[in-house]
Amino acid sequence: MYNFWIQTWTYYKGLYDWLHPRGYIANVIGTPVMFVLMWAMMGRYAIDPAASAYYAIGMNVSTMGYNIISALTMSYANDRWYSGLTYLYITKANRFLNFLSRCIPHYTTGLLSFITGMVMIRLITPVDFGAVNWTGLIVATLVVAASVLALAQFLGIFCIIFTEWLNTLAFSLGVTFILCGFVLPLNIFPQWVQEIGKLLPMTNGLIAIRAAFSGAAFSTFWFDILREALTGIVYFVVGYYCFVFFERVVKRSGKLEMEQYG
Amino acid sequence: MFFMNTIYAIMAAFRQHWKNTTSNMWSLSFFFGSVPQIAVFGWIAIQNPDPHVLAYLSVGAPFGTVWNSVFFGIAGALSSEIWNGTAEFTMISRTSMLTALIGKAMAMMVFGIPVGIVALTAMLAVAHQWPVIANIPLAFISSIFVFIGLTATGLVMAPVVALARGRTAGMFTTFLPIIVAFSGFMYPVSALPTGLGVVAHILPSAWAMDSVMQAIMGPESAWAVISGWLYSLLLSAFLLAVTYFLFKVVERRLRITGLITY
Repeated sequence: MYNFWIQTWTYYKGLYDWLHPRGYIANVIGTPVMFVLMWAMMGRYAIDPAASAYYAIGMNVSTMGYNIISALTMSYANDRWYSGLTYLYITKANRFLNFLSRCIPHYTTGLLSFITGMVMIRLITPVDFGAVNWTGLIVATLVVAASVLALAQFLGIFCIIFTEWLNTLAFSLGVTFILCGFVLPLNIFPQWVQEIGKLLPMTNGLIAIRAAFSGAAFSTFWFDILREALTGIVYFVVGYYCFVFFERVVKRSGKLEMEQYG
Repeated sequence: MFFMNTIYAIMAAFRQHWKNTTSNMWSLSFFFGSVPQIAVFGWIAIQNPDPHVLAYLSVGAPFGTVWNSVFFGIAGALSSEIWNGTAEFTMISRTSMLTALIGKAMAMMVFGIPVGIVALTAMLAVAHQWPVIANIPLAFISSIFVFIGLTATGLVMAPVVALARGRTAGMFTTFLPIIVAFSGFMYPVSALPTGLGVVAHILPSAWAMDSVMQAIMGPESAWAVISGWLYSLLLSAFLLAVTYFLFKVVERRLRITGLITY
């Protein structure tokens, strides 16, 4: 276990470029503050105060997702950029533990971002914090953060395959922005689009988070949390198999140059 | 003669930066990341029966996209010169470094225009409505001032980033929405709480967006529009003066102490 935690810390410290006080504070405090403020003001101007609360909650989850996904995808891209993967491929290190170790510290980054966003929601929107179902909110948030982590692990593989990790990041953010219900309610889409949206992490969890904010009983949204957790597990498993599969491809072809796969 | 030489230098820098930007696949990320978000604005705008909301967002939101697309290219232009070892060649040339950077900034701004146009098209396609603008020529002229203001804001960051010597990594994700939120691209600055509204008017683009609002609603008076242009221009000039001063600092450090290298 000692080696596992050393590995976890090394990946975190060595590959996450924004892990210094200025960068970290900017991302876990500055970014959620600005995004929640911006979208709450936007909702108030364009529609009404209720919309401002709706957007603020959605953007808080979105910013948590952004923080986790950008951190992890960057770490994967850096691992290839700094040639760390080459050394991993010549060792007998347990690949599953290696895969797992890459994501753990980023969980806290997402949660801290969410907490900052909560403070902003309290300050600038009409959400009644006295009515919030706190147990449900905490459980839903913990599950959503884990599920986003799984999505980021899955996306990380594309960041070691393709040269430009920013394209992977931007594409994933663009798709989740539309289909996860951060701003657009899912029910405006046709049923089949809604189902696609629910295959993405954050969608089901956000339904639960919104329900918890409105004070709904846990029994009314436990299934959304369960579905969110299952979605996360699927992404994690698929991500792990892609990670192992890519190693096989590299070893078979002998090609790991940056521009090799596009 | 001096004037023509300056124009030639700006054009050459423009061409160089344009080629550099358009030859990289990472520029696709601007389209992936921004267009879905702006399309969402189209949906939000039509939730309000007031047609001015759509009109305001159809001007402001693409500017937010342009800003997000061009900021890295402008702010990072000088530090890239230092990083790549080409700043020294600019030092031995008679062309000032600021002149070259203005050409690069213009290239980035022009590069941002297609992103803005695609974003606007996506937004109007979702809205299925044409924005109602009371005075289109005034809105167009005001937009030019927004454009100038954004260029000046981006340029001032170039020497700041260079002087910070790489210590700004990870901070841009906060800086980007600050400018969008306080320029009033998603809502009029008057919608912000009073204190934040005052802060926002430090930015030249916020004044120009006030004029955009006047043009959309139908100007209360000529002064209401022209004052926005005037303050925007004055603040842009002030930012350019600050930029010039900071460039001198960068140049001094490069020539004398050499402390600016990474």
